[in-house]
Amino acid sequence: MVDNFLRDKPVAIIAYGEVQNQRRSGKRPYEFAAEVMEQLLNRTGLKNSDIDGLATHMPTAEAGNTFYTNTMADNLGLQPRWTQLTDIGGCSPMGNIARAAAAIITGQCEMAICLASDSTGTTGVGHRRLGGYRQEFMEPIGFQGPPVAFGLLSHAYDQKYGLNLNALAQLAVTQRNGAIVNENAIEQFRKPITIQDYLKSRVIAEPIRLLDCVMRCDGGNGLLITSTERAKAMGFKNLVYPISYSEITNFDPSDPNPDITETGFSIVGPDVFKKAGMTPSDIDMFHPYDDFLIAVMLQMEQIGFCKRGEGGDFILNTDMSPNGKLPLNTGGGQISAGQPGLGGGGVNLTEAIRQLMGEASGRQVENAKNALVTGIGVIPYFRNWGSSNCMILESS
Amino acid sequence: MAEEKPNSLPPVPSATPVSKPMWEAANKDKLMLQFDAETNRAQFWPRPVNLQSGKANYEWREVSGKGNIYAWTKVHVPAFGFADRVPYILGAIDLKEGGRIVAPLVNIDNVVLEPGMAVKVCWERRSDDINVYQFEPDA
Repeated sequence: MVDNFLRDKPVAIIAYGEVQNQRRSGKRPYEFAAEVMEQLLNRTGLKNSDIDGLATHMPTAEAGNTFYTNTMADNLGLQPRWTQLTDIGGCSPMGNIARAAAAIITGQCEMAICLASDSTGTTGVGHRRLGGYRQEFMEPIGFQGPPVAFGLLSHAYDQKYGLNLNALAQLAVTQRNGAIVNENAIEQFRKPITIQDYLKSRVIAEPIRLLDCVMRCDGGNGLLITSTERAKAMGFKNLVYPISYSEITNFDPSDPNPDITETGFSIVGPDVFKKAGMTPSDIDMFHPYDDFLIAVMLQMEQIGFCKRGEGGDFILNTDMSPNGKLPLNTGGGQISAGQPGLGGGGVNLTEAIRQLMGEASGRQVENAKNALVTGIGVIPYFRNWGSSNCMILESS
Repeated sequence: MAEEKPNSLPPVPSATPVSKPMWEAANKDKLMLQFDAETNRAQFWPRPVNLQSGKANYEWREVSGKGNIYAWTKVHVPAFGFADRVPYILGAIDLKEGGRIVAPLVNIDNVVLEPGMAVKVCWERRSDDINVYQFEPDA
């Protein structure tokens, strides 16, 4: 058995919070973080002075603010003894649970708040002079953004395995059905779509269509985490435990001509199960990070729900609705609920916690005791995505 | 999908201390890559270290500019400065000497693209100093 510092459930999530995703709110990440914190305090009866740990991520809307943690603490009236700023894109919110757990176990703090908020709908992604490959080698050749990266990736997958558009369409419809009953989903996405709507949606970068992609917006989410001992002593009963975690960044850096259909999930997927002593068939719900639909399918294959190249068949043959065999992104995923910038990694995570606390009104998965949640971060220069992480959560 | 004025020009890349040898060679229609001398593995984009060793012991070598298409995508929603080129095709090219480069595929109006198709580098001048690589069929 691989060493797993979460196996004995040393820490517990005692509350989650989330604001509704919005297109252009005019607000900054601090305001969303404040709204999320207020929800967390109202739910738990805690005061902000009870919080002594603060974990955030670098939001696009505040990129360049080299004092982000301090500014956030000052906005929220927090006096943390432990802080963490994580910048692995959509992996950050879940990565912060693991980091906060380590801090709590080692006595650096007792009650941590993990916050994810951004307002790229309001600010856009900006044009600053940055180091690295984007401005020098991507923008000058017409590399318009993530749809191009996923267009190339989809083409490579299609050559190797064959790409089943009907399966992706099925995923789009399944997720959209979740957004319709999710009051925190972006308002304009709370209406049904059909297989044909997906297949006929505007092509961005072949074969990527509009309905393959997330839409950036404003919003935020967060949670409170403390030691299980303390949570119980304080009287909290509806707990969610992180029981296994695995993360990898900059997968396969030394191969200059990699198979780009291979991702870091080929490592962290099997690893998170090995650490938990579980297999994919033990999973009650799957909440994968979804920036593009094909990313969801690749994760199914590489985490081990099915074999490589069989994701399309797996999707078409598996009921992924809340009442189905493998409920998937029951709140709509980011693709149908909205991606609040780099806080987007918390959207599906929050939904998993909400489900495990039995509060997913209108889409509750009955008898779900655990969930697998994933994160994806960063589009590199023509390799697969930069960061991948997996966490298994269990209800109390 | 940035909003832009009509007739915006594509961005002109600016060299960094690391990439300068590549852009200087490009200005003379030559493609240069960083190599690890021990394994002969090439890398693109230019980095401050040799990916095989993690140290700065890479060497610059001129390459043939020939390669084969690994994957491509036809872009319908343009990047900033590319509005008047849509639809255009970006390809990922496996270079003959190793390394992979993403670049526009040009001069392909009557060509049926195939995976593995042979291509060669050609150049688009963007300024007095900067020539940007693109690829065309190697007939």
